[in-house]
Amino acid sequence: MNDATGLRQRELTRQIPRSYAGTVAANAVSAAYDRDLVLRDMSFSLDPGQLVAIVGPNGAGKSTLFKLLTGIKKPAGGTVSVFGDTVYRARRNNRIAYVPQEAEIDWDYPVVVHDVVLSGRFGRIREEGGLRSILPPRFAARRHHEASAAALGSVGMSDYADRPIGALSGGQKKRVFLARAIAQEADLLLLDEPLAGIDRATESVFFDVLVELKSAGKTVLMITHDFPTVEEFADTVMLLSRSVIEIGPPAEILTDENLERTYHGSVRRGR
Amino acid sequence: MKALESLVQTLIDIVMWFVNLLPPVLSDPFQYAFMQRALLTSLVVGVICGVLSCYIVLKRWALLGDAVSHAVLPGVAIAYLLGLPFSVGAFISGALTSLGIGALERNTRIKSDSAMGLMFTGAFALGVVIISRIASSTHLMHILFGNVLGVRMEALTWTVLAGAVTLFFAFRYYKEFLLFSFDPTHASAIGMNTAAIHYGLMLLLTLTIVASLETVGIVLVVAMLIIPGSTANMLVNSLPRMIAISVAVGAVSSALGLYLSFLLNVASGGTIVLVTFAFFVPALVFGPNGLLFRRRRITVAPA
Repeated sequence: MNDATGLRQRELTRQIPRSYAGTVAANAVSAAYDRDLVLRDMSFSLDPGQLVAIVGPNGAGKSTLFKLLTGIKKPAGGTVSVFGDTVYRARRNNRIAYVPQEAEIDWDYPVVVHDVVLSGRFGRIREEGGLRSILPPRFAARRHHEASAAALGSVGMSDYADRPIGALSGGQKKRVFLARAIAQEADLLLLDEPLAGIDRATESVFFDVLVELKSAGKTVLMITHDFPTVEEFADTVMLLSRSVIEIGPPAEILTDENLERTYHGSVRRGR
Repeated sequence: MKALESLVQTLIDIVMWFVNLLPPVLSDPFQYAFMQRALLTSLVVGVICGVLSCYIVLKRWALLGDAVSHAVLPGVAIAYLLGLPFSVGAFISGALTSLGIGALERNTRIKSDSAMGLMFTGAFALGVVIISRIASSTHLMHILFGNVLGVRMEALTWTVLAGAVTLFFAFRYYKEFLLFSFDPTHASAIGMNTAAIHYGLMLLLTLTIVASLETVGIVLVVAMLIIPGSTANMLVNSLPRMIAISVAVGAVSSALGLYLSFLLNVASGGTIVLVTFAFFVPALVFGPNGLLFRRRRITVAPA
């Protein structure tokens, strides 16, 4: 194959996702750790403006899928596209926000709540360029500090802006990280088990915010084990076990048969 | 190089202006030229170790610091053989080792603690063997434990240069290092190149260690990379303040340790580390995040 054909081929593969893909599209994606395939031949395409629940057993590849979408990990094969673009370009264009699970964070880290939320703006600060973009965040333009404060207000945490992050309760920590994603003004939000171990008050804040984000056209991907919530709030559910088992509206997808195929009979839907 | 050396001489003059404001009991030892060079070296080392120390502590890279510091030994030996400035050799072998550690843990099933242990003991052993062949045991002792009183102008210039580079990058990439140590997945999601930050921080660590060799030596440099940051971590809850306190602890204990070692005629590297430790202990006990008061933080006011 000469260079010209190679180039045209690359252009073609770059354009294919553009034509059919919605928010997130995976085409024959596989991912591996040390030769162990965690995801294989995974393909799906999601429409924008949806709340998508990702459900599956431990080791099903849910977190790996998020690692592909945040650029921490490269696929071993296949292509992932986000808004018809490469993951790299989507990241650089501030289109992807990530809300970690509690175990991912060192809660003794010396940051206060405002610092955490402001870090959601770092990509925006970079986009602006100029001298201020390379200075420490304290020197960022006032609008970034204001956007952070507003995001903190929208999750009801304004009074805590100067608290160390480790001094908050579990639910409050979750709200702060949700505020960081809001401050980022991304189009795709990735939430890793946001509902694990939170109180009712925080849960209702979460769903108010998620409904608002959805009506603003944002797409939310959420890893969760909470079936009642999935049935009530999710537009689409993706059953994942090393590959996509089923994908569609919860009412059609959450059947005992499908769950058995996903969990290999170890878990049943129950209330 | 000559222009740089005159710049360094100017820095010494500035430091001496401040030193001469002190009572004669404190300032008298610094009337010797070798003590002035030692003082500036110690201050630079205290400052950059203070900055890096925060990231080493927060990122849990203490063992990596230990590994890289030992791994510079063969570079020092080979530079001695070839007649190069030893900081160049030290930087090359330290950097190669830290990149090797990263490559091992990313690409094999060897876990990071074993990867570090493998690489640094191997490199250190190679260094000991080469040095035993080419130099006296006094040389080896100076490399292992530092010899800040014998620092020459050329070595001091290298240290100042390394310090300037480290400070520039630490300031320029503050946001990157903050997110890399706090939430690397978020760093990646907003488009930062976490692999580049990882290796960049490793190289800065190596540069800092190389700059510190003559002051505290290979064996004790890791103390200067752990204690100032840990001390500051007991006192405050924001990274900029933590860096400021850590830098102050590093610089003050370097200068004070140097003074005490001159006064008592004891090893300078060890004295500097002991003074740093003397700052850490009260912070550990009485600091807001220390042993006595830690309980208070757990209680949270209701929303």
